[in-house]
Amino acid sequence: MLEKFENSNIHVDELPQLEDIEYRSISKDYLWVKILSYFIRIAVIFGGYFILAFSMKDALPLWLRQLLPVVIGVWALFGIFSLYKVFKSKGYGLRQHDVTYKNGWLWKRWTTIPYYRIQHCDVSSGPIERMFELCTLNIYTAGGSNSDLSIPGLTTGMGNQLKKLILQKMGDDEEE
Amino acid sequence: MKRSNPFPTFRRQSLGAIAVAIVKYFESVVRQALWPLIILYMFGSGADSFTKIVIYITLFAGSFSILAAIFRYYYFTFCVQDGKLNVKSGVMTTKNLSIPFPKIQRVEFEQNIVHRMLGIATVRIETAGAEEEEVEISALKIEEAELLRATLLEGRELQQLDANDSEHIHEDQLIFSLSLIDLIRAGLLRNHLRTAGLVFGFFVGMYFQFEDFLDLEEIYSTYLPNWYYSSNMWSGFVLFLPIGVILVILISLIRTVLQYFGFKMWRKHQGYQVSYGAFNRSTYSSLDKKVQFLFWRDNLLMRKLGMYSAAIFQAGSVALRRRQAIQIPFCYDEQIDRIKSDIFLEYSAPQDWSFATHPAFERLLLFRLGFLPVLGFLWIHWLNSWSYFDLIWIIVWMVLVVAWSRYYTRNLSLKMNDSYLSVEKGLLSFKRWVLEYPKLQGATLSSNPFEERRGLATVTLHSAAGDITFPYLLRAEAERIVNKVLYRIEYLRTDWM
Repeated sequence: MLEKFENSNIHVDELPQLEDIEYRSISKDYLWVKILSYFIRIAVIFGGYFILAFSMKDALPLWLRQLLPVVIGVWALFGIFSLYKVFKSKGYGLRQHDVTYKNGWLWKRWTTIPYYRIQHCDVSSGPIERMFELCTLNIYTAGGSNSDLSIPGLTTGMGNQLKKLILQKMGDDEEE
Repeated sequence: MKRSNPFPTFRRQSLGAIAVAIVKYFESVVRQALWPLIILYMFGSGADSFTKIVIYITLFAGSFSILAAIFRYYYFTFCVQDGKLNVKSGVMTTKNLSIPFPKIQRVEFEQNIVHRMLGIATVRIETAGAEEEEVEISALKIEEAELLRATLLEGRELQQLDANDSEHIHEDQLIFSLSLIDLIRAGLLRNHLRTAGLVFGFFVGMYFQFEDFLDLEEIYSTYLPNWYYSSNMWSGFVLFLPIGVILVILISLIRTVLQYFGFKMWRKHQGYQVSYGAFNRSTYSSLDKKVQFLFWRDNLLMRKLGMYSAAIFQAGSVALRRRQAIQIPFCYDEQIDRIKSDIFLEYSAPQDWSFATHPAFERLLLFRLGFLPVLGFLWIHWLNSWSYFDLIWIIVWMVLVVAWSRYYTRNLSLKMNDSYLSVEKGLLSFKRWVLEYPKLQGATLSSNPFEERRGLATVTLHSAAGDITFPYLLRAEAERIVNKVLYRIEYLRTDWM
């Protein structure tokens, strides 16, 4: 006796929607990580400027020597503002079959990777991240760096939990 | 019948490996860095001391590469034992590699002019899996290289036969080959823009050298009409344009013929193999399960004759995450259809849903290709002397850009059905990609400020052989595409390789 066979249409609009993903924000401490890293870079640039201004003060006109720190200062302030906006844009979402990471202030990006396509994942933590007990979850695929995900600003516990969840999902999906 | 093992003990490769390494060093240095200095030295008014010093340093450093090549030759040995290819290499740190026969995916040869003069070939062995990489034996006598390939592939097939008795050895089938006439036609019909760019770049680069030993003003006044006299690089470009066009076509033609000389394509067991090359003879293979997508293109001339150039994009070994493409310079509809039916199971052209780019993309192209270059052109001419006739070029350029932007935007399309997705782009050169959903690794939706303001987005589909991008879709449509792609990957759960 034949089993009842069904083959109904699947409408694209009935599929799970990208816009329905619930995104979680990353840790607020990550903003301090980025600001600290940024300050270190600015300090190096300012240091370079002072060395230049001191060693070449006869070669550089006075107006340029006075203008440069102002330009660097304004650029630094704009940099901190953009760091904040970029931080606010970051988020990640987990669904039953895939993980999505969004980021970008002016140039926005949402990347979705099915668990079934993840090759491996790991957790990394730089020196400044470790000061705030944060880490980055790196997810690798065979698609190259454009499809790999790096989710920063996770607490160490959350990073390891997500890694464990993803590895479990990878295993579940393979078994199915 | 199992053949006897011709490589039972560790042995070195051919001595030609040293010659190949030295030639490779000088070729890369001269080609990438030294050629402008050598041309200056030969054609300049007398090379300055800096140029001479750079050339001498490079030659001196080359002597160290000879020493390195000798050491590498001495410390590289290989053998075939116990169903594995074993390789020992390394001068300071010894590396031992063992590759079991079943892990070997491909064994390919490459021969450049030095290889052919010495009767040797470079053998490249590629493996599957996350642990291994590619093994390269720089120089083996061609007969030994053939023996090694036969030993490895036969060993692999025998082991697979033991595991599955219903398998049978597949006979290779020659799909098609390209004669010299075919190659000349391909060379003439190819897109010459890239060669034109190289020739133009060379002309611009050498212009100031020409100024030193040629009286360009006298040449311009002799050969250009009086009403077009303008003493600058642009005049030189106008004057030499006919010669430039002939040169571009000739260079494209010669490059195509030499690059693809003796092209043959075979259908092998679950894959293809192509070999070609006049001086650098190369053999490339594909495996159907590694193919990520099929690509083919034509231009206005080729379209009239129903011809295409195609490429089969496949993933390399997982550890390398490298993309590889089998190039087919010239083929017809029947070859494209044959490849589709071999690679894709029950292929049906994706036509159920069709998406087009928003007209705002046309404005972006106008800005990038029209407004910005014209601005640059005007700025350069404001700094130097210029003629009002140069305005004619601006008008001609803008008319071309407007027409090109409009038709290019209209030709962009993305089509889908339940199993396949295709993207089409282009105007003068029309390109098509076709892939199956399970080959995809993931998808990205992105938007720049221009797109964000207009509710548009770009879709990028990631595969192990590269990304395919489709720009300036309505946001809702872009999300529908990504939703569909993710559903098919997650629903089908088919391995991508």
